[in-house]
Amino acid sequence: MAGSTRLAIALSALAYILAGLPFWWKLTEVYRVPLPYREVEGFVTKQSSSSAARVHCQLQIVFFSKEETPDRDAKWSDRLEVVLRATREWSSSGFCEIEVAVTLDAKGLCLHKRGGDRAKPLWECGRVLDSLHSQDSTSIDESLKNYIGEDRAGKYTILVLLDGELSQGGGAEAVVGKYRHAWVVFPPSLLGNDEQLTRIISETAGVLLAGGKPATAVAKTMPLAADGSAILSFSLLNADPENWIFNWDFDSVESQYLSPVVDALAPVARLSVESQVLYYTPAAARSQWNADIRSHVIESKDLSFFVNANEWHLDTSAAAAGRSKVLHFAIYVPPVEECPLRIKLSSGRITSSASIDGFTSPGWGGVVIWNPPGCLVADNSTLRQRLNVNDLKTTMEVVVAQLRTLFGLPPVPPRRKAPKLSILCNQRTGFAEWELDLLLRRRVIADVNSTASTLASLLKLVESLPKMVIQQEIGVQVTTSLEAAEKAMDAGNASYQVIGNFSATAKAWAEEAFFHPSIMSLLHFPKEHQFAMYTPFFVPVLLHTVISVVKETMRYARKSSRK
Amino acid sequence: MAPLLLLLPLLLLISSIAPSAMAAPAHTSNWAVLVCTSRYWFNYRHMANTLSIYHTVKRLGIPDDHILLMLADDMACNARNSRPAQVFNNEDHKLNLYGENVEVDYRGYEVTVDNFLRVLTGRHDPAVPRSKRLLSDESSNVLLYMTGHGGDQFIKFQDAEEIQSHDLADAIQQMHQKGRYREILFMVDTCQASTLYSQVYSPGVLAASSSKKGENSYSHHLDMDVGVSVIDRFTYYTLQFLEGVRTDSAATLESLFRVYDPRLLMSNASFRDDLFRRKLDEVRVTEFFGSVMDVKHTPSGYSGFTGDPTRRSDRRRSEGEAKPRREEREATAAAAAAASELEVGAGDEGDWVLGVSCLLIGVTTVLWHKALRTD
Repeated sequence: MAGSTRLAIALSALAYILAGLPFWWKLTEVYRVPLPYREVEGFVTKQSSSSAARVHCQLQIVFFSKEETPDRDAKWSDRLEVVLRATREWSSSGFCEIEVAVTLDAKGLCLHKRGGDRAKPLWECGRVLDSLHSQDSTSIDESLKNYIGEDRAGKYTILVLLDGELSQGGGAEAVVGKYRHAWVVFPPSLLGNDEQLTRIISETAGVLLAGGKPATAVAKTMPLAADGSAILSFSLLNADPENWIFNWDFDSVESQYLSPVVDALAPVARLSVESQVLYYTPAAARSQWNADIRSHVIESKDLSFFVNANEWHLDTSAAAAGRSKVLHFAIYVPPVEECPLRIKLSSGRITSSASIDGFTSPGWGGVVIWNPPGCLVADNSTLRQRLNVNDLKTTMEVVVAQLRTLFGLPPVPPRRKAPKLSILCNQRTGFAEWELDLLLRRRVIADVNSTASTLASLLKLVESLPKMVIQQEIGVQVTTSLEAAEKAMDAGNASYQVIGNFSATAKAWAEEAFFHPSIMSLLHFPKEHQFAMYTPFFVPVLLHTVISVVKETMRYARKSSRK
Repeated sequence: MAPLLLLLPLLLLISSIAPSAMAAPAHTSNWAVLVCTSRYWFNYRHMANTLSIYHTVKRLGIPDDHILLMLADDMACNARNSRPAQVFNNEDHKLNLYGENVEVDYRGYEVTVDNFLRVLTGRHDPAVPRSKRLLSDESSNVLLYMTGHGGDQFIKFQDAEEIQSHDLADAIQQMHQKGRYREILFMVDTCQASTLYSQVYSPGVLAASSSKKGENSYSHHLDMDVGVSVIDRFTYYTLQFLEGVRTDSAATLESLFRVYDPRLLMSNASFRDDLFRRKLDEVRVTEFFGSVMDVKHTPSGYSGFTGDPTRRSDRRRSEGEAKPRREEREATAAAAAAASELEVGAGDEGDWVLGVSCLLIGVTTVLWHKALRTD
């Protein structure tokens, strides 16, 4: 029929357009790699629910006596039970899942009480401990280290010495060593006072596990880059190299002082060291001459403006890639007109040559003012001096203290009076082993938290932009990060090194995925724009096609109804 | 709720008794992102705006490495500049803005929407140096100042492209999710400026603008020597206020916002503080325009620290150790890539689609040919 041809033509034109619709839909799809939404969600809920202690740690408290004790089994059993319960409150503060075991190792008596895993090996009673009399703390520390034997990250021992050979003045005294053990000298005369015993053991356990402070719920962020590294940038600043010009032998300084510290901190952070010497770097704060102490003094409120960012070009590291973290350590040599330069603290006290002229700024680094000894003023000639390791010894002590502050530890381990507790310093590395464990635990918790929040927000972003291309690389990064984070969380009794590696990997890959340069959110197309984009293409054609179909259909219908 | 309300007057009383004892700032660093989105000689005033704010924040203490300055930078050495290498913001020519110590981070054609969003979100190419990145953290206060030509929900970038308020709001939300700021002060000096921040939905953002929707923002005065307008009204009155601010001033943002007079501005300056946690009369101007380094005195050194005197010549060893770690990471990545089973990309599907569409075209052509021949 004549009419059907025209209808067929009109319909085929429309059919062609309609058949193209699914192809248009498929072709305007963007490549998005499938991301593990459900797994990430599961991980985030799991992580936020059990947000407290996760890394394992073990505390062993041993009551040691070479002689027989006056109290009998039952009394000791109760005492051990009381001590066991008292130390459990420290578990959440040290960011570790703690297992406590208490043992009495006396002559003829060996009692154990434990709070956790029955399968763990216990203290071996009856071993001989050499006399500790007339030894100073450092050698007692070494002797006890050899006596205790096993030295594993996460395993701590408190030895309560009941013999009385070490007690001076009759009071109880605790010393935390620089490895992973502490000892409490508890004279037999005080043995009836259970409360004092529990308190001193509790305080010691608190220091060993948590640095002595109950921590807040969220671990403090460490001054590290996303991949767990940081660059320690040392600058020797000559404020005014007219009368004196200082240089330094940094190679020796680094190998003697800094390399042990960097090596010790290796499980916690990957540090690298660089140095420079700068000239003509005056401070931005003016000092006042104080005739009483014959020094130039900077007020504490001016300290915030001491760092002169215009003249101190500290951030010129060639090794610092875009997303690295740089911690600056500026050793400032004042000009001869301002020597000696001291700081007046907010309390009114002025630092003297016996104390420290230095300050830190969290996340930035630290400044140490190095006054040349005696403010040696040469005659009119310029003094040129190359500082060697001995000249910089006290400065390096301050630098280590500042590094500890930046990482969240007290610059010098504090002494306590009641109960009497002292903490030994690690002369070689600047960090005690238990402090390194503490930092590692803090970093692991911070990394896992950060991974969870980063992955969650990345996936939320990806979902909110359905037209954004997600490259395959991002999928790999997200999967790797998630796997590593789950392994870090379910590590059980794996070594601290392994857990640290997993959490660092998790955070590094999560950050890589989130900050991938291809994720640009410049893709908001409001409805008006989409409308304006498509209507000029389709409306004219569709209009004519649809009208012709309608007309031909009506004509065909009329013709067929007439026939 | 009721007991809290009763406490409020008490708190106000206490805070009014000790006006200088405002709470210590909780932020630990200050950053400034100053963007001039215009180029060409007739937009001289926009560059002068941005440079004036730049000098102000530098004077008040923000160091150059915490300032990201984005300028087209085509004024000072422009062939039309009768005072070469000098940029002024006032016809009295008292202050040369382009004199010394001006560090422009993104200049010329680098000022693009893409780069601007990358600065905000932090998603740079790995090769971009630290000086061109916003390295703020969750306790940084960020001052974001934008000037140029804008309109309803957008601002124009370099006469070639534009950024919409939605994209800007999304970028700020990205910053919030990654903890890249504590508080943002967002100041805009363009026409219809308040629409640019109307879509922001992240907490901690305080925004101020020179004009409302439907209004233009005007320049302040024309410099007969230079031949173009040299400063905009909103920025002019802002600078006038900031001239009296020193690093230890207690001037608040409330007093800054009260300075804007609609008759003098010839537009209605407005601000948006519904996302901001604090009250404006408690926020000092120097908390955004200046910088206070948070310092803590080191009470003592780690006494007795000797290091390891036996290690004098072992420097080479530590360098050698660094390499295995990097290789470890690369090996992990390769293993992860090999082990993951992900779907292959759209390549295969594209071929299939192409084949079927060719078939369809062929069929339709044949049908039409047949249909036309029969008539």
